Amino acid sequence: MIPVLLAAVAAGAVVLILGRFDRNRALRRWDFVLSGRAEKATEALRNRLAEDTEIATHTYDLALKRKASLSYDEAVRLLAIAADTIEEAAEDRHRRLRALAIYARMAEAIVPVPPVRPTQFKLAETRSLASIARWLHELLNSYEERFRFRLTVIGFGIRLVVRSIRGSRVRASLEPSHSEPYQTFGDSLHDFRALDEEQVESFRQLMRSAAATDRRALPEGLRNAGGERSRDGAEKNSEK
Amino acid sequence: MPTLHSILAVLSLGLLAVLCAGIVRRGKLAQCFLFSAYIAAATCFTALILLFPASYTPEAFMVKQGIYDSLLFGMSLELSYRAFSAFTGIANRVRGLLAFAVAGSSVVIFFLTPTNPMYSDIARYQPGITTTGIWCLAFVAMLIVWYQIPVPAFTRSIVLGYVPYLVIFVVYSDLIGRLGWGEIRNLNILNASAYDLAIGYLGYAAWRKD
Repeated sequence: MIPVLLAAVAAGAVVLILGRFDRNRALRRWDFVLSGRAEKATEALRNRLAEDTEIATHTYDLALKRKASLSYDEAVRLLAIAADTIEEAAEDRHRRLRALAIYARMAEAIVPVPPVRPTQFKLAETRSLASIARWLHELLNSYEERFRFRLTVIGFGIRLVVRSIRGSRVRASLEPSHSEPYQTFGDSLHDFRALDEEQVESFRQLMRSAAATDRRALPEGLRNAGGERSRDGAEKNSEK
Repeated sequence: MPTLHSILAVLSLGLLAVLCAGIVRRGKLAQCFLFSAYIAAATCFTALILLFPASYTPEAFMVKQGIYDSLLFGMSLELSYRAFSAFTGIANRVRGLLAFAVAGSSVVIFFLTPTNPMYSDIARYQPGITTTGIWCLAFVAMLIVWYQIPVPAFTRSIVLGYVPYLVIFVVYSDLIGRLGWGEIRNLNILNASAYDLAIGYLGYAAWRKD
């Protein structure tokens, strides 16, 4: 019976994992990794992430103004809108982190990345997470492991921030005149932005790693992937 | 009057011929030489069994199964070699993992295979050997997805078509041991139906333009 179960588990894994594997998507990923569009892509990512947090920060500032003018109902409503924006943004961040983890496997080698800095966070839980992670970071063997661990820490940090935002939103609706929930909400927003910056930094380092990939170490079909880089390089050289 | 099993056997010969033709016609022979060798061997054995059923003795079955099992393990190694050898950056890591898988499967086979394998004992050791082969293929498949290796579509189809059939084969050989040889006719129909489905799918994949 054991061989039958083991065989069924292996076949299930193959059908689920390989069945969902899309060759064209893999090729597109290789194309992106090898394209060398690092600077442009990093800037685009930074702007994209900043959009969400700017909306939430603006709404939070409005909520603080309403609270100061004693319009508590309006303040709580605005806080809820800001919280929803961050929760939606968090989903997007998790998707991006998963994609980064996949790209990290494709890079031939990863450049050394620093651990997430604890001092930049305001919430006690994210600061503690970053402190523990900093210690564990040193125990990991390879740069690739450290990079993936960094992504895990950022993902976990986002979860903690979202939890804190939810909590402060509920507390604000129960006691809208208290300043603590607003303060915690503001700290959470700050930490969310800091985690965004860490994600952008991870992306930048990954792009640097990918740019260092030796094309001769790839199969023939992939050597021309991301051909833009070679074309860009040729154009720059001719300009010089 | 032909039995259902013999009809399925003739059908499988036809499907194998279609698959062989597809592999050659579409130039997919080199994507996995040992898979092509397996298909050629299966076509020859099936034709011989249909032409000379009296000569299909337990000894002949043991020889055939030994060849199939060897090709199965060789296929995993060839697929992994073809998929990863060009990626020199990750080839070392993959080589280490494969060495671990090959060593593990060799130990399992060493302990499972009796000194003198007998046809009557097949239910005792064959499920374990085939399961080890399935795990080797599954391992290669997982590494392909983990490292996002853009393997050709037919290579993916080989694993996706062959592994589910092998599970049915494991169930088939396990059931022989549980239910006894008296049920062999019904079990043969189960096995042959699954085989025809797998070969049909692989034939379709072979003829499909990638």
